[in-house]
Amino acid sequence: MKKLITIALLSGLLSTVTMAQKQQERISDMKHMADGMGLIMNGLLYNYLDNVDAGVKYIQEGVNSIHKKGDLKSYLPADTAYAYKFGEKSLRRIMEYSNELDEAMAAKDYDGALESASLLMRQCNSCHARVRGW
Amino acid sequence: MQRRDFLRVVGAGATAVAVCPSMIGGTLYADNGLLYKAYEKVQLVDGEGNPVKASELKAEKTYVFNYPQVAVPCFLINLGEKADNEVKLQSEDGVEYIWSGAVGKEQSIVAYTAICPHQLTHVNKADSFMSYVPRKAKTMAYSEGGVIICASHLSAFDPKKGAKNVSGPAPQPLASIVLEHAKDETLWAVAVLGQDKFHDYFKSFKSEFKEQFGGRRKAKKFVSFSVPTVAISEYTKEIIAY
Repeated sequence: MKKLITIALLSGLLSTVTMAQKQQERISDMKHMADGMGLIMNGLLYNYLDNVDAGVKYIQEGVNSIHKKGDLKSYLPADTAYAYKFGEKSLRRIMEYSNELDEAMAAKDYDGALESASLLMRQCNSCHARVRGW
Repeated sequence: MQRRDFLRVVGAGATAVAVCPSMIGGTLYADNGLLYKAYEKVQLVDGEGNPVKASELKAEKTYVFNYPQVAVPCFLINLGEKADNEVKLQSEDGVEYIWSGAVGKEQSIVAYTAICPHQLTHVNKADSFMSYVPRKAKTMAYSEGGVIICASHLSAFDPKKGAKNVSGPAPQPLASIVLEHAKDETLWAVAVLGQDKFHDYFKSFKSEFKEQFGGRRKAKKFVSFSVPTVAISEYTKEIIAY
C-alpha cells in the first residue's frame, strides 16, 4: 500500500515537473517570437531593414524551435492539444507571411511590407485566440 | 459573358434602379434590405462535366464549387429538410438584408461561400477547417449538429437560416450564393448575397494562391459558363472539424 502511494505521488510530481518544463519552453519560444515582432515594428516605423530582417529571423527561429520539439500535440497545453492541426497550419502561415515581409522589404515595397506584417500579427493572435482562449 | 446573360444583368440592374436609385457599381442595394452582387450565370457540373441535378444531390453531403472567382470556394448542400424563408440577416457593418430561402423541390438546397468572415479560414485544396456537421453529429462549436462550422475559432453558421452566424466570434453570416433551379433540375449560380470578404481574402493568401492556382491574378479570374462541383472529400485532402 505504501509503495502504491509512493509511486502515485512520484508520478504526480514527475507529471507536474514535465508540465512546468513544457510551459517554460512555450514561454521561451513565444517570448523569442514576440521580441521578433517588436523588432519588425521598430524596423517598419523607422524604415530600418536590418531590424525587420532580424525580427523575421527571430520569428522563424521560434517556429523552428517549436518544430524541433516534435509533435505539436505534446507541445500545446493539455486542454487545447486537440487543436494541434490548427497550430501546425498557423506555424506554416507564420513562415509564409514572414518570408513575404522579407521579400517586400527587399523590393522596397513598403505598403506590401506593412500588409505582410499586419497579416503576421493577425496570424500570431489567431493561434493565441484559440490556444489561450482569448 | 453571353449576350443573353449580359441583357439579363442589365435588365435586372435597370429594374433595381427603377425601384431604388441607390445603385453603386455592380452592387444593388434596395430598400427591402438586399445586398446583392450579380455575376455571370454559371452552371454547376460534376467532375465529368455533366450538369448537376438537384434531385441527385445526397442529403447532408457537402459539395464544393468555385464562384464567382476561381479561388473562391463555395459549399453546396442539400439539407434534407426545408430551409426557412425570408430570413433577415445583418452584415458586420449593420446592413440588413433578406435571404429568401433554399431552392429545389423540397426547398432544401443551399449554397454559401466557404470563407469564414472572422479571419478568412476557408476550404482549399490542401485542407479544410470549414465543414458542414450533419444533424445527428456533434461539434464543439455549437449545441447541435446541422450547422456549418469553422474549426479555427469555432464559429457556427445555420444553413437553414441563410448561414446566419449562431455562435463563436464570426461577426456576420457566410455570404450566400444565389442559385437558380431550372425546370430540368439543373442548378445555376447567379449572384452573391450578403457582404463578402473577397477583397481581404485575395490580399491574405498570396503563397497559397501561387501554389494552388499559379498566382493571385489567376486566382482572381472570374469563372465562366460552368463550374465543377465535387464532394468536399474530393476537393480537399483533409477535413479538420472539432
